[in-house]
Amino acid sequence: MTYDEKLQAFNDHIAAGGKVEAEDWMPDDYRKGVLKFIEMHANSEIMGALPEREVLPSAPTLKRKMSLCAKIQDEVGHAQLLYRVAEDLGKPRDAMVSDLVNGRSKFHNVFHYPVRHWGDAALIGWLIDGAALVTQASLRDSSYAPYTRVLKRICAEEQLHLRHGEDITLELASGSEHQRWMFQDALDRWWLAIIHFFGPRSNPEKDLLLRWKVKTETNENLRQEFLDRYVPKILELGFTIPAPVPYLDEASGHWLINDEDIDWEPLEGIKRNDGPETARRLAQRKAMYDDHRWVRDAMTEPVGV
Amino acid sequence: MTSALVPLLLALGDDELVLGHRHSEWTGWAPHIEEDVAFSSIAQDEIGHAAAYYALASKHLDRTPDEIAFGRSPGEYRNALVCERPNGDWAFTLARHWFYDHAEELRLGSLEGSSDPALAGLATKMRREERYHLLHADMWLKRLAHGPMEGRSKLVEALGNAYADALALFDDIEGEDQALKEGLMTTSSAELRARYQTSITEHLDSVGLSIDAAPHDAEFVASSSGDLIETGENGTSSSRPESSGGRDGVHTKDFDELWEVMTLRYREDPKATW
Repeated sequence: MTYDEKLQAFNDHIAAGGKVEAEDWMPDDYRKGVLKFIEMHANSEIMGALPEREVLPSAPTLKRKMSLCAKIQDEVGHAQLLYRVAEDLGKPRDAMVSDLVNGRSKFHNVFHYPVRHWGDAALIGWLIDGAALVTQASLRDSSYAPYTRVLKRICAEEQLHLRHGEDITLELASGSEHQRWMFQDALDRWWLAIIHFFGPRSNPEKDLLLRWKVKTETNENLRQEFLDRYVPKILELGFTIPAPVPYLDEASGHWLINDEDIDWEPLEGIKRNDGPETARRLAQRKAMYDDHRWVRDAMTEPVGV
Repeated sequence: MTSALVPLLLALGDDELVLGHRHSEWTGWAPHIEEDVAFSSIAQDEIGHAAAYYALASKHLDRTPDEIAFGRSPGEYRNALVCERPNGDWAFTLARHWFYDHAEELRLGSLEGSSDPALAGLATKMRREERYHLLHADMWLKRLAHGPMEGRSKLVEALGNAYADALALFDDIEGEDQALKEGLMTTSSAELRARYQTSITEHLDSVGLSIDAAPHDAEFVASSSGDLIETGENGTSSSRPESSGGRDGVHTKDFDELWEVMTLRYREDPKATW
């Protein structure tokens, strides 16, 4: 078969809803695109541990201290699973971690922001994990089969995180004035970043990952699903959603945000790895990585007698 | 209620809480992904054990487990100083983990025979979980002792730094005489310390390391001869003064900092539910 014939057969296979395994033939652009996508997902899981670890030491009860620790542990475990899937596409984990800590690769926008107090633990657990779950649930139908298999496990655990986050939020919502303030303050600081999380409108003509069904939904559809699911709940708890403010479109029943109300400017810096906390968090992880090379050496070296 | 039970439960619980807190400081950025997961898991176990000890203590105190964990002043905590030392690097963390979990194994073994059925039952249950900590700690000890030179020398140095502190885990607990008389404890701390020293000496020897100096300037060197630990007059080494004090509520500056952070949210509003 010529390359063009192989490519045609691959495209037909995808168009018919077929899946791709690591050892199957695939166009280079597919391999590179999937690798980059999963690598960014893995990076995001491990960088996502950092904001929450900052509130872990002051968790207010024994139960919360354990459950938040367990939750962050899950995120790190997800990174471990995802790096393994990415490795099979041809890039060793150490190279991925090295690229991450040296600022050569990307991670999700929401993990570039600071945390201030326990309200952030509630918000991250509920709304950011909620947003991630909307995206990840859609990816369970991705054309890259190894990714879908780990996503099934990841989504099951994310469901638990969502409950953990919702539970903390409900305690704050029904608590003292200060506790209610904590969640509102977190919401005020994080809302725009959550809207950015889904990305600008997709361009299906240009987006290879959509065409090859690695991604199964457009960014705007995923954002819409999130808004319809969470906006009523946030309002029901009596919190106020800051700009960009969603409104209920009576005709469609959807909670909408007008495109022109979204300020994309803050996302530009983050795309260059220049967000409010990017440098500090990457430097922390890099220091940890560089100072402990001997640990990795000891892990990989066979034990002598 | 017995007067010696509560101080015993607090010493046990505080060790677990404070060390669990230190372990959880690695959560999210440990030097290796697999170890990040492992240490978070160990941290949760230790904090869970603290919660269980506090739950028993709370039956005798007019305080909830959370109040006991976060609502006391620094001088009321009875953890050994080894638990509050800053994590430092991974080598110190592993050395402390290894020393602590071997001490824990002995301590829980003796508490399984406690005259307090709730404490005895708890000890049996915890010992099952601690077994995995021990496997993990022993795996690392062996791996580093037999591994590349850099890791080995870091381990040796860290063991030396943690040893005297580890012995102070067996400093007398408040009300210990009474606890022994009532059978709450089956073995004195001094006796446990002697057994502990024998046990860790054997373990270290099995990986080609031995302690060839008294704990106050302990040095761990490569040896397969199983050199004996230099012993004190009563046949056991005591902990050095700067390693002791935790059991009497005398802590380090590092503990004050840990306490500030650990109890911060709780102290803001002790009546709130979270």
